[in-house]
Amino acid sequence: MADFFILLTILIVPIVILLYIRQTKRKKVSFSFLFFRDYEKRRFRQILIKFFQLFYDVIFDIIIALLIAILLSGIFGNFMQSRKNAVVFDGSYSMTNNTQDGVTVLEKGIQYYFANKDKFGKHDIFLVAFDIHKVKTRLFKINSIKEMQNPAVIYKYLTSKYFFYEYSYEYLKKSKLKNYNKVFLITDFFPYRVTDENKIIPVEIGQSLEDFFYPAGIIDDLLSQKSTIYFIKSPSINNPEVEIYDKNKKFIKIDEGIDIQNLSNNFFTISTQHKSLLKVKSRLKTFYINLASDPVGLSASGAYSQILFELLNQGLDLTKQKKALLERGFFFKEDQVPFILLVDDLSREELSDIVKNYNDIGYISNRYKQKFTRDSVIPEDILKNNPQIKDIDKNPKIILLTLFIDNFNIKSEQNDTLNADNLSITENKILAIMDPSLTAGYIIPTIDISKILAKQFSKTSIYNSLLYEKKFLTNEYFYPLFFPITFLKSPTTIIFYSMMIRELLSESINLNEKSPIQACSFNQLAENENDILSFDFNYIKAFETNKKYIKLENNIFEKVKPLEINKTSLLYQYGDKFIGINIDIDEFIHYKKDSIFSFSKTENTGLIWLAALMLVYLLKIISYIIFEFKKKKNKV
Amino acid sequence: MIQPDPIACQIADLFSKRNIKKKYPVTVRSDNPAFKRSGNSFDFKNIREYQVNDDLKKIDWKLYGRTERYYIKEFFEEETLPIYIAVDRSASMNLFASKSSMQRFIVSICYMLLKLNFTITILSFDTNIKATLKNLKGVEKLAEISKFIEKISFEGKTDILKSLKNIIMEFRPSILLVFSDFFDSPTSINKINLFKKLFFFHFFTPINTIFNTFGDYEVEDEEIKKIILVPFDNMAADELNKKQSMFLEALSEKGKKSLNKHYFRFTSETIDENLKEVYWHFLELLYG
Repeated sequence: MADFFILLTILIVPIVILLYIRQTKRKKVSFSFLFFRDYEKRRFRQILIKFFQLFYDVIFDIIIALLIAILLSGIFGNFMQSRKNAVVFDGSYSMTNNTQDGVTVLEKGIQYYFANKDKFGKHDIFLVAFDIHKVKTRLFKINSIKEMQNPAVIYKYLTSKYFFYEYSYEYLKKSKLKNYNKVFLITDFFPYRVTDENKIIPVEIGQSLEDFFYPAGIIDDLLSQKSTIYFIKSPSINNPEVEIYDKNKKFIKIDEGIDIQNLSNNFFTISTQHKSLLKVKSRLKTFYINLASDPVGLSASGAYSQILFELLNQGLDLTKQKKALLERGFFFKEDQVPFILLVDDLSREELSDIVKNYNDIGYISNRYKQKFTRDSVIPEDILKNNPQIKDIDKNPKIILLTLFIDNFNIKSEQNDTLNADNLSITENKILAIMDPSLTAGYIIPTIDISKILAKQFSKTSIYNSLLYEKKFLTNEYFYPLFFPITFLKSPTTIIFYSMMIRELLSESINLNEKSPIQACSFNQLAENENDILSFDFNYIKAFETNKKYIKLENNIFEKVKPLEINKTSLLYQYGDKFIGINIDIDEFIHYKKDSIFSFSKTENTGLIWLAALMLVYLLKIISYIIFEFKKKKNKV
Repeated sequence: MIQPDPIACQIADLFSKRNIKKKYPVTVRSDNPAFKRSGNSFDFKNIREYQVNDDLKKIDWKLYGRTERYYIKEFFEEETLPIYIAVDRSASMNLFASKSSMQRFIVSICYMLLKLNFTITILSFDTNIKATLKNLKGVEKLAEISKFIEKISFEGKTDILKSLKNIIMEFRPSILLVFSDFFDSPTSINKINLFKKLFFFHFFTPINTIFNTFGDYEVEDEEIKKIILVPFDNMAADELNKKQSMFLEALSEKGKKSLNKHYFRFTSETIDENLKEVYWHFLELLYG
C-alpha cells in the first residue's frame, strides 16, 4: 500500500507541475463571446472546469497515473517482497493444544523457528488468525517477536493479543503472502500441495493428544419431525451436554426430548424434535447447531478430501495418515468404503501407484488393484461386460467416477463375506454416480460425463450434484440431489452421505419429491439476508467464491455482535437470528509438519496494460514538452 | 476636445467647392414630409389669410390689390438633409485598441458633414438608444459633438437590431451612419440586412490580436461578465478563424448587395492608414 502511495505521488508530481505551468501561463483576455458560444455550450467541459478548475485531460492524466501506480505497486511490491521469505505461524485453535512434551504446539513451533532462524533467510513473520470482530481471517505481521527469545513469553504474548481460533486457507492463498519468495507455514496442519520438494524442510513439531468431537451432519426426518445430528468423536469423549435456547433468551440444559445415541467409539448422534438453537457442550468443545433453520443444515466441512488427495498423490508415510483418519472416524472395513476412484489425467503407472497406496489403507480391494496394476490382468468378464473398462484398457487416461455399488451395505442381511472383492462391475450393479468433480474435489479436473451417461450407464440411477447441467437430466433414473460444494468436498460428509445412501438402499426408498431426505440447493437461496441467515454458516461459506455472497456475508457480519465466545465456537446474533461459527474440522487434523506452500504465479496481463498506460503517460508529457518548445514559434 | 483629422478638413473643403448642382439636393424637398416647415425658400407652400401675429412683410400686396383682403404667401423652409449618426456604446467597443483614433474618425466624419451643411443628429446606443444630440448644424457645433463622443463610456450589452429598429421608428432617417464593432448575436447580425440607406463603420478586433500564441486562455466577455476557458491550439484556431470570416462575410456581403448600404471596416492597426481614401470614398458614396 505504501508503495502504491509513493508511486502515485511520484507520478502525480509531473502532472501537478504541468498544471502549475499551465495555470500560471494561462492568459486572461477579454473578448466578445460571439465566436466562443460553442465553448460556452460545451457543458460537460464546463462542469469539469467548474469542479476542478482544470482541464478535463488533467483528470485523465490522474486516472492514468493512478492505474500505473496500482500496476507498478503490484509489480514492484512483488519484486521487492519476492526477495524475502515469509514465516507464517498457524493461529488456529489446535496450535494451543498441549503436545506429548507438555508444551503447546505453538511453543514448539516457536522453538523450531528460533532454532532454524538463519535457515529462513531474510524474512517477515506473520500470524494467521481469526479476527473476532471482523469475523474473518486476518494476517498479522509479528516481526517484533524476532527480538524475543523465550517461547513461553511469546506464546503468552501472542495468545493474549490474538484470537487463536481458525483461519481460512483460501484467504492465505489470496493474501499478500503470494508476493514472497517462499512461505514457511509453521503449523500442525497437514501439508498442503507440497509441489516443489526442493523447497521443503519438513520438521515435525509434535502431536497433540487432545480429544475431539465435532458435528458431521444433520438429517431432518420430516415424517417423525426429528432432526438427527451426527457427531464424530474420539473414543474417550463422553456424551456431551445439550442446551437449548428458549424463549427467555437463555441457554437451558434439557434432557427431555433429546436422544443421544452412541453408535460406536467414534460416532454418536443426537436426535431431537426441538426446532431451536442447540448448544452441544463437552469438557473441551462447544458447538452451536441451529435446528430452527430450514432446510437441513450440515455443519461439517473439512479438508479430508485434501488429505486423500495428498495420500494418493504423494505416497507418503501412510501409517500416520491412516491412524489420523481412523481417529477422525474413518472406517476402513472394505464394505464401508463406498467409492472407487478412477482417475483421469494420470498415467497407468501413476494409477497403479495410487491404487497400491489406496489399497494399503484398505480403501480398495485387491480386485480393483488387479485392474490397474501392471502385474495383474483385468478379468475377462469385466472386459466383456463393461465397455467402459475396455476404454480404460485402451487409454489409461480416461475416467474418474465415484461409484456406489449396491453391495456395500453394512447391514447386509445376507452375509458378511459380501464385499467388494466379490463384485463385478456390470451396468445393473451400478446404482449411483456422483459427480466426481465434486466428490473428489481436486482429483478430477474435467470429465466428459455426457459420453458416459449416454452409452455405458444407461440404466444407472444417478445421484447428481450441483455441477451437473440440466442437459444431462434426461435419464429417468436420475435423481438430482443438491449439496454445497464444501459438503461434498469433505470426506466426513462423504461418510455421512454414504450413510444416507446406505439407508436409502437398505430401505429401498426411492428418491423422489416426497423423500424424507431433503435436498437443498443453494440455487434456491433468496438474495434476502434473512433467508441466508436461516442457513447454517457453512452454507454461507459455500459461497466464498461468489462475490455477490461475499458482499452479502459482509453485510450480515457488519451488523452482528458476538453473543457467546467459546474456545471452539462463536455465537453471533443478528436481529432474531443466530449464527454459530464452529471451528472447522480442518483444525482437528494434527500432522506436525511445517511446510512451504507455493502459489501459482499470476499471469502478468497487467504488464501489457502497464506498458500501454506508460506509453500514453509518456506521450502526454513528451508532447507537452514539445508543444511548449514550439509554442513560441506557432502563431495563428 | 477631439480635433478632426486635418485630411478630413481638406477633403470637406474640396467637396464644398464642387459644382453646387452636383451636390446632393440641399434645397427644400416638398415631397418629403420631414421638411414641411415654413421658411424662406422659393418653394411655394400655401396662401392663407393674415393673422394678427403675422409679419407685415409677408403680406402679399398684389393679392390685396385684387381682393382687398390681406393674404399671406407661405414658402417651405429651406433645410439641408439631416444625417443620423449612431455610435455603439456597448462594452465590447473597449476591445478596439486605438480608441482615440476611433473617436477622431467619428469626429472627422461629423466635421465633414457639418462643413458640407448637413444637419446631424448624433446618438449613442447599446441595447437601445441611450443619448441623442439633435439637429446640429454648422461647423461650430463640432465642439458639442466631440464632447458628446468623449462622454460615451463603453459598457453594457449590445442589441444592434433593436436599437436600429428604434432609431428608424423614431427618426425615420434618410441616411444613417452606424459606428460599431457589431459584436452581437449572430441572428441580429444577419437581420441587419433589413435596413437600407446605411453606412456601416465597423471597428473590428480580430481574434489573432488577442490569441497570438497557443495556450490556455481565460476569456472574459465584458458585456455579460462571464469567463470561459479556451484551450487555444491549432484546432481551436481553425475553428475560430472560420467563424470570424463567416461573421465578416455576413456583414460585408450585405453591404455590397444593396446600393444604399455601404461598409467600411477598420481594425485598430489599419484605422490610421489610408484615411484619405476612406473619407473621399465615403463622401462620394454619400453624394451618389
